[in-house]
Amino acid sequence: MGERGLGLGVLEGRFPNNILFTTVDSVINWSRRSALWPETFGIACCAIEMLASGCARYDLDRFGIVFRASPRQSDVMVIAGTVTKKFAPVVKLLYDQMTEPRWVIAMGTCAISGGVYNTYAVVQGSELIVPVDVYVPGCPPRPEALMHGFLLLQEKIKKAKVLRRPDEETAGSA
Amino acid sequence: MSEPDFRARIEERFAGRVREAYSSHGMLTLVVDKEIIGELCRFLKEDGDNRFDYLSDLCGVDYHPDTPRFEVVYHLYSIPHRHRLRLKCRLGEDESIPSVTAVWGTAGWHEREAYDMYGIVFDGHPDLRRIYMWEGFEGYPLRKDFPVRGYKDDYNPFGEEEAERPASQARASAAGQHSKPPRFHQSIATARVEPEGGARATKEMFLNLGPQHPSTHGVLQLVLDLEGEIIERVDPIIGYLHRGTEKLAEGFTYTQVFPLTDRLDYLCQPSNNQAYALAVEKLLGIEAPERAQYIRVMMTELSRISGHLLISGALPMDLGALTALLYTMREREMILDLLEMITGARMHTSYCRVGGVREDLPEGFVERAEEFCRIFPRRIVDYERLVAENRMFLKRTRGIGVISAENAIDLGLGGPNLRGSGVDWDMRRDNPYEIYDRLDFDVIVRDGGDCYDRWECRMEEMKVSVKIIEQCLRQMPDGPVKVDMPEIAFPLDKQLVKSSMEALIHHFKVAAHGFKVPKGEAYSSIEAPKGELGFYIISDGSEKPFRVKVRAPSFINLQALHLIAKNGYIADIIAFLGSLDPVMAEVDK
Ligand code: SF4
Repeated sequence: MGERGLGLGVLEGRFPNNILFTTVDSVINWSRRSALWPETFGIACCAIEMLASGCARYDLDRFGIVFRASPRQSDVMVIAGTVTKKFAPVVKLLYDQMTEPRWVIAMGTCAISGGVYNTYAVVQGSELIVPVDVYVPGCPPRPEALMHGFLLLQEKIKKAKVLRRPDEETAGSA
Repeated sequence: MSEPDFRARIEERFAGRVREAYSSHGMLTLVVDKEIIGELCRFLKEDGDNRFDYLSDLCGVDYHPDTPRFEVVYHLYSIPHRHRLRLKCRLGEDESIPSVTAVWGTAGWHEREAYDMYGIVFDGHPDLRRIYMWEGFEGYPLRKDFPVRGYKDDYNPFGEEEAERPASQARASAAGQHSKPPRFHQSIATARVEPEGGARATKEMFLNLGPQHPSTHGVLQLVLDLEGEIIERVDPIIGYLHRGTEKLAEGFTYTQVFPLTDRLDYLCQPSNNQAYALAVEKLLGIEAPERAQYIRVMMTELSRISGHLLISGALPMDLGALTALLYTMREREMILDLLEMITGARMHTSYCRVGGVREDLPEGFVERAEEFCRIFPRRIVDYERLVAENRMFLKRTRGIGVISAENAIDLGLGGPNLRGSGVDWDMRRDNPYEIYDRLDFDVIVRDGGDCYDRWECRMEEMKVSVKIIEQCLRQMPDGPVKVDMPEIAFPLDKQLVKSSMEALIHHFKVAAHGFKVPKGEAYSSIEAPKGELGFYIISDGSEKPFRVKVRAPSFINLQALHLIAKNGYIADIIAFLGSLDPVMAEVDK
């Protein structure tokens, strides 16, 4: 898995860690985390809980999370279910089709580690195919847990350095 | 017609070719020569007195290292006479067996599955390809000498070393093929056109739908062969969710298999639990106490509603009427709340146990369930107003995707898909199990056989289920919820474990090693929301099943897609699929 770009091409990671770029970064990150669009992409039982999260009672929309049917329009991939070896190339392809910046949530034990299915047919963890940002354990995770996963992802995005150079310490925090 | 009668008729007609005939757990079993299987099956199907018109299941079994190594097992059912029969053929490692696809259309995918999992070749099968694993996969996973974890590769660091692979496993795959799955799976449709390339006058088109497509309800790929807008043929490519349930079950104790059954039809877990528990109980010769049976039935009916709710909302959604799903999911949450109250889990309940259920109903459940039964029928009226009077929905489902009764039986369809075609068969009424014979309920049948009728059957069945739940709540007696057999079930009174040494030992043994099940075989099936869900279990007398075959209704229902899609419009494929209601985890196992 190579370095992941953050989708800003030449501007990325070029600027010093000062108040100006810290502010710009936080604006960029705010806009990114407030409209996470996951792919409508369910694999197994976990997908049903993902569907439930999007429906009336749990209503993911209120976090700005709206499901999109095409990978090209989405920026989060929720791997909701068991990734089999036969399906693995498809997951990789879908990931490659998403535009940067993109994030991955591995939902459920199957996606995390293969779960109970330590068999000839199942990939032992989706980390073997795509880089995963947030792991949501459970079999299946409750909708609340998935929401928590999304909130964690938002936290992660909040902290990302976009224009700033990644290796420098932020002034003041050192 | 009674059992000895048709047994005599068969033995008279096929004198000397039937090697053994015995009855095992209430089912007559014939072991026959493989040469006569085609002729025998045709006789059984067409002979007026037998009329075994429905092939329930067909599967392979591997007795390695015994010889002859394989066995092909057929489970037949007669819808007019409501009786069952099991046929068996033994065959050695390099032998093939005649296909029965000409007798029952449903055998097509069953035989492909047996070929894929065991490498058994069926002569005369029109399209013998791998079905779950990809072309080029080496070995046959369900063979006893194939390791459950498979062989090491990039995706599975826990597999066995490739060097230890016995030569026998790579028999049928050509040398040099890699075991990695390809990015796209070619069907024969795409394979066929390439060499011909433009030689035809009309232009054909191939369309690939899925495996990631919002309307395929999971990971299903359809390769469509189009002539303009008309579908010439469709080739469903499945196996994207093949997780090896049956193989895994062979290494688990009988109790440990319950969680695996949950994950088959993941919309209706309690019904899967129930079907499996009944099969093991049949092998053990025990029955759950009355109260447990009522609880099981009630939970199955709850899950039937929850499964039907999802699909009856999803079908209109796929056709463009999104609203219905949001309403049906609202009611589905009520059911999940009830299940959570009983079991602690919203989805994977694993609540049944061999000989009963895990624990009694919680306090306050009955009131909550009664409330649900009061509210829910009113909500169904809402859905009907929303969808059934929607002209767009009617136009896109009425008269679309018609399956005749004859075809439905031939293809082995089940549940609302069968009854939507006018076949009046429901095992809850016709072969009652547990306490269904004490309940009063209607079987919903529609004659049209189109997408609308299948959808309507589900809507009506939900109303029936509510009635069943109400009756269960009223009739349910007090009493224990599991059998009083310390060597099989945990003691009824958990405190006993703390005071009695004997109880403690039993508890430890059941928890750590499971329990032994006498040698034998049993097939047991129930009327699951999707159709006949059967478990065929072979026990070798140990704590773990020797073979667990799941007769998965979705798998068989999906096979009908090619029939109804032929000559249909491309836009309707979504309606066909939604009306057949396949759950991919159950299709792929
Ligand atoms: S983690 Fe559990 S619920 Fe999720 S896909 Fe796997 S088996 Fe199903």
